[in-house]
Amino acid sequence: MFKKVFMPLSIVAVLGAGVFTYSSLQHNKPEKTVATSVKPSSGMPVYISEGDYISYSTVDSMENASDLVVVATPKKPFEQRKHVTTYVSDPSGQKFPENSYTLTDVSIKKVLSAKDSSLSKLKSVSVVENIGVIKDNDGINKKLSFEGYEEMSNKSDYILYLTKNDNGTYSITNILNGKFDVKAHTVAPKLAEAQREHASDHTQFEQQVKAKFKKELAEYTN
Amino acid sequence: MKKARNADLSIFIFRGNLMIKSNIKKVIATSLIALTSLTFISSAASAETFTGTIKDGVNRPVWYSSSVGSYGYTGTFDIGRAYWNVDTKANLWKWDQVNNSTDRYYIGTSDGGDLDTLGKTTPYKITSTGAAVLADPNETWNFSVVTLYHDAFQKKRWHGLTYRAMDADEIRKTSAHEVGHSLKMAHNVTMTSLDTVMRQGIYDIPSTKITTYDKNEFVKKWGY
Repeated sequence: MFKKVFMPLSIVAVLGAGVFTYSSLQHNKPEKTVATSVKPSSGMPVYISEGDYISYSTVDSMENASDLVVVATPKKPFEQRKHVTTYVSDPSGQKFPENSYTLTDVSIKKVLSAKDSSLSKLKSVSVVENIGVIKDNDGINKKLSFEGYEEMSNKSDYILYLTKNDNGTYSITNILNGKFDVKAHTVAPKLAEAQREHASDHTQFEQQVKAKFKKELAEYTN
Repeated sequence: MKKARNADLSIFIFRGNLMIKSNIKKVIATSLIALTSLTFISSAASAETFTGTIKDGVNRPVWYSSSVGSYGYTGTFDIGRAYWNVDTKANLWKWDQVNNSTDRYYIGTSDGGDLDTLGKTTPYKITSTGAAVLADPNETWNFSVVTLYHDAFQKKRWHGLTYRAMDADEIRKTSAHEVGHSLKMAHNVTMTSLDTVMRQGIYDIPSTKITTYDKNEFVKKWGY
């Protein structure tokens, strides 16, 4: 009797719960579609997203928030790096990038500061750069930058303030103001308003950072 | 004596001329400083909003993607809209359809990207073929795509002595910040006021009603 009545009921209940859970998960899944890697080319038009991000107003607070401060250089030119873009769609079928960034593998030339001694032995890391490559709704490939961030060149050395992510990659702390070309002044004139907005802060940060690590940077600045 | 007096007088007159010249110089210098400061303040103030306009203005529909409800942020975006709607000519009203004037609101996740980015707003314009394509923040655009990042809000960080995720009022501030961008409000770079949602970073929404500073900036851009 028990087996005949309760066993089938239990199976039905378990199956029902499974179907309910699955449908709930499906319902909660946003309309994010595909992660598309678009092949970049030189001279692509650059556009800017504005936004809200965690910023630091002093070099000390930026360093406290960072796991690692290094002198590093990208291993490959921008076009050959991994570009990640995910899209969402609207009811009209048009797609918009939800995330667009570049994973840049950098060779570490010198560790200037590390929160953990094990990090000071790193020779290379993967850095999330807040500029990606997208295919727009007119079919044209474009760069999409957050706040006017400009990608690192593989022909330059950079001082990078880095924060470790859970997936093992590193993000640039303070976004625009946590990356400094060792030799040049890094405020690029190209990215109009967004860069001008950050230009004054960037210059101040750059001067303070370069003064702080003057001795360590000497071999790269000559 | 007379000569001396004349000499004194001439010295006085000379000094007087110097004083007058000096005063004129002071007046000119002061005026120039004042003019320069005024120009600086004026340009700084104008930097708090983007140039160009939004086709169909600030009385416009917004569409919430299903991600907004499924992640539980409907009320957050409602407050972000209400912040600008109350006491200004902005009227961002919810619509269940999209057209070329509809702002699109999404909740996203970082997908391996940067968890320090809390929200993004990207402007779009419509081409002659009807495609929505990226626009520059300073040109005339049709609509904005606004995204808030759920996992960036959930990430635990040190807030003074507590290690926690962002709370509701902090997330509401980011929502009002991004909705502000969709109305051509730019960042409060000059830090002339802390009474604004257009500062970067994590802090509570100053009020559910628009602050005096943000209202003034909005009025400068869009009028009463």
